[in-house]
Amino acid sequence: MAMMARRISAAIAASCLLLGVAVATADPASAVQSKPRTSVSRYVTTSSTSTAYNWGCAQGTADAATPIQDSEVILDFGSQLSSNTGATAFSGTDITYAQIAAFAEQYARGYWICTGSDTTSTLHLAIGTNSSGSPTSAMGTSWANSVVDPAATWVYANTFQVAIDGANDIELSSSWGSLSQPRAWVAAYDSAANSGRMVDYGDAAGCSQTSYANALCNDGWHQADVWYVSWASRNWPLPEVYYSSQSKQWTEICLYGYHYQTRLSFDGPLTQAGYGGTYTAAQGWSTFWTDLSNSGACAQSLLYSSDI
Amino acid sequence: MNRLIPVAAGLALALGVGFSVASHAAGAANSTVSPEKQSILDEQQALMSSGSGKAKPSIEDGLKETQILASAQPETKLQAGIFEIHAGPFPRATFDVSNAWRGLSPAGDGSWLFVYAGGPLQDPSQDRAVSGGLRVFRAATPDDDFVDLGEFDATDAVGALTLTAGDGKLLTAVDSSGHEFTFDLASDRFV
Repeated sequence: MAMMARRISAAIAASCLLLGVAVATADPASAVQSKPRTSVSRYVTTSSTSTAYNWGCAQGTADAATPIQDSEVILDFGSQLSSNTGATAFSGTDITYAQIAAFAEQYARGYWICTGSDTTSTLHLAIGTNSSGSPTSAMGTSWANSVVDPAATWVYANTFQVAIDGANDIELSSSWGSLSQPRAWVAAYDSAANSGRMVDYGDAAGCSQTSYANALCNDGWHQADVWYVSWASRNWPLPEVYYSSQSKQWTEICLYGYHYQTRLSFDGPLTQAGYGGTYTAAQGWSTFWTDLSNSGACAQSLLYSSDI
Repeated sequence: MNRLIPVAAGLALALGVGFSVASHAAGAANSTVSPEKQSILDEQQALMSSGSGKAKPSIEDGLKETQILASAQPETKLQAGIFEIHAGPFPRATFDVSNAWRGLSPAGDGSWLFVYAGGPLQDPSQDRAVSGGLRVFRAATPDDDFVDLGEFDATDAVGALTLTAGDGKLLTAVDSSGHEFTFDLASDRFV
């Protein structure tokens, strides 16, 4: 009888233990999700495919050292030329769309080769421009048809482990183009692209840090506009989280989506390695995850961390 | 009494599974990835793994092929001078760019300098630089990685700086009030 009682007690104890574990797992604020290793995103200053290969090789080597590592990297090629034939790299050098595609291909090849025997780590490689200058719908179409799709075709035929995305650093500034211009670019890109995602790695400058009621942001943008360029259609957000304010702004954009459209699923925070008092990757990750968790409706697991 | 054991175990199992299912269901409800978006991810996942039968070249062979490809490219040739650009190799949230200058370093080592004029936004919710400055980078060759030499603020500047002239040794810039500033590239300071 005593043995029986002990068995019953043990079964009830097991039941309580299971309950406890389940409750602990369900509590979103109990512990910050572990940050994956932070990838290195790049501002491109050259069309050299040798540089591209070496950058990709460095990322591949790092990922292979901690398998299984899934990363996301932005290659930012700067603003598109008004002639719609290429982009101005950050050195001021004009590079053609074909050169941009070739650069991304060699980066992907370097990653694939340098992961060596690690055939399970993967990379989302996002080929980015920005919204400075005067982006147009024709430029969005060209970025898809002349840059991202050709690069994707080459990469899928010649390597594996790498997925190709388009990307745009969309910043809410009149000096970087009025509201209608980036929206038109995104709509055209989304229509023209044959595969992959469009990663928005920009900001939500001037947007509310406390309200999700489609409040006004900088330069005539509303939260609905930011939601559109970062989450409608094939768009995905890897937002700038350099400061506390940006983490809160993107959390409110997410809540706007939850209440009025659909809730955003973030790839993760883009940080700047602590430059000039901005967040380190660890700080950006922890702050963003915590703000999202505390919002309730936008609590979610994040996938990637990247420094640029 | 023997029946109590399976009942208790069943209760534990049911509660555990119940919580587990509830937890996953909550996760599923939180997931807002539409079927269209999910199909993009699924396609990418398939493409990333579809070539797993491809033999990887060795790292050495991969580098050789890349060097052969790169040798067929024309060498990057830059012209010194001021150029129009509204973003530098850093986030706009920390420094808003008006324009830039590039040229050979006065050190005479063949390296290039890239100087971006503008100013720090300081408050990221603002859309305009509140003070003026320069950000300076060096590259051993135009195709090499940029090395950040730092940010140099013009202490009395009103608003962002814009470069107006550069001779390879001195750069001239003006702030929003038209006040002129001179920057010495050899010592990296305003003079």
